[in-house]
Amino acid sequence: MNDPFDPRIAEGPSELTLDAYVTGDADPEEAAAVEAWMAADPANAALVEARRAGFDAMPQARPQAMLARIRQGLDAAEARSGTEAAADAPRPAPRRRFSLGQWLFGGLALAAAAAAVVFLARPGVEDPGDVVLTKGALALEVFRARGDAVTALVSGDSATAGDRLRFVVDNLPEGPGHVMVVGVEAGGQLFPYFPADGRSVAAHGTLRDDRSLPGSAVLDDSVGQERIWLVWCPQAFASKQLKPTNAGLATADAACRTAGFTLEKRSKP
Amino acid sequence: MPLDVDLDTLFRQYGPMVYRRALQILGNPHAAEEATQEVFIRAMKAGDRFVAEARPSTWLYRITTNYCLNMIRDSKRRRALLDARKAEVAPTSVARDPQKMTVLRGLLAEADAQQARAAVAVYIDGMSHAEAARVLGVSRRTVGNLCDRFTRWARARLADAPAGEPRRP
Repeated sequence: MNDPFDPRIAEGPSELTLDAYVTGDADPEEAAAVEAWMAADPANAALVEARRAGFDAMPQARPQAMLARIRQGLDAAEARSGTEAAADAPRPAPRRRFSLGQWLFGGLALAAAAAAVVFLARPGVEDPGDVVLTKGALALEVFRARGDAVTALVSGDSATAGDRLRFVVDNLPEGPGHVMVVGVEAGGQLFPYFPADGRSVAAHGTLRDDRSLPGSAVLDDSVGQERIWLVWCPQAFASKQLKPTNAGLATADAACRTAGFTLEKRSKP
Repeated sequence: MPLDVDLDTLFRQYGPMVYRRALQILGNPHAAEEATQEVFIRAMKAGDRFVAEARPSTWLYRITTNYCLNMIRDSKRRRALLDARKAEVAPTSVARDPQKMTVLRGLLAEADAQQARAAVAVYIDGMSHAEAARVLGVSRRTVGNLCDRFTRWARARLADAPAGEPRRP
């Protein structure tokens, strides 16, 4: 076998220098060196361009899932540090339309929504006791359909009224369990996205082969930041047992797991 | 103190870099995701210390490298990571042979921690000794010594691999 310990495996900028250049952290001297290196060989320039493309050039990466788990980890850390605060008094949930149909996504035929069911949920708030968020690998991926265009959202992305959201569950815990997706408005109002009746459903048997939840949610015209939460619990539960807190979302069972996602709801241009 | 920087902005700018670096060291996409998540959680929790960094990329490089080295040193993970021979690593500036990378990962899992950090900087990231010295916060001479010791130990390790453990330098 060749010796893998050449003093310098290759000429040119180091990995760190290239990253500093792409992220804008490089100083002028380093930037000039990288640009000279790029000019010397089209392959070098192509390599930097691929690096500029970020996650788009790394098909195996799942940035949405990573972001969701980072948020979950931060929420759990805050909860553990005792910063969790009690939520405000119960509020009426906003109206959401939930279409029970399917939609086109990722080249897979999902028919247009068959019907939109308007519901109004007014969850009561139960004291979650000492329950804190449980850190885990559960993650929520959110896809937005606008017309025929479907986009995999990254937490923090925006959507407008009429956009349809589809939810995909990542890394479901082993064993039987129940799932639900809820939204929490900036004002703290909690409402169920899926299922529309605010009662959890068995995860296995509900998730499709592509790990998606059936149906899609159609956004109304409210604006502002919203947190979407995927909740998994070993036992059946209801949305009224979930409680928004400053640190995240409290559940009625310490064994539950949550995964959050931030959505910026904007008015139509 | 919580970091007063939007996570999404930070992740868009530096997420690909951290993930790519983790993938280079670990050679396993799932492990690289786990490392990326943990690095960003630490960055956000570091708060002001992170913001005060003149070059966030250098700070992230350090904690990513350290975290990944700890991962491959974890005996529970080692076998799975070292068996990751088909990792899809994005193109880099260093023309690396996948077989050599597998060998390097195996060695990094067992090497002296300080030598491993220097070896990552020089043999994986293609840094000069001067650049590695700046990033690692040691002298250039120290980098040279660490790399020399790592190389001697690694060559002995490779020569004696089936027979037993070489002595650590």
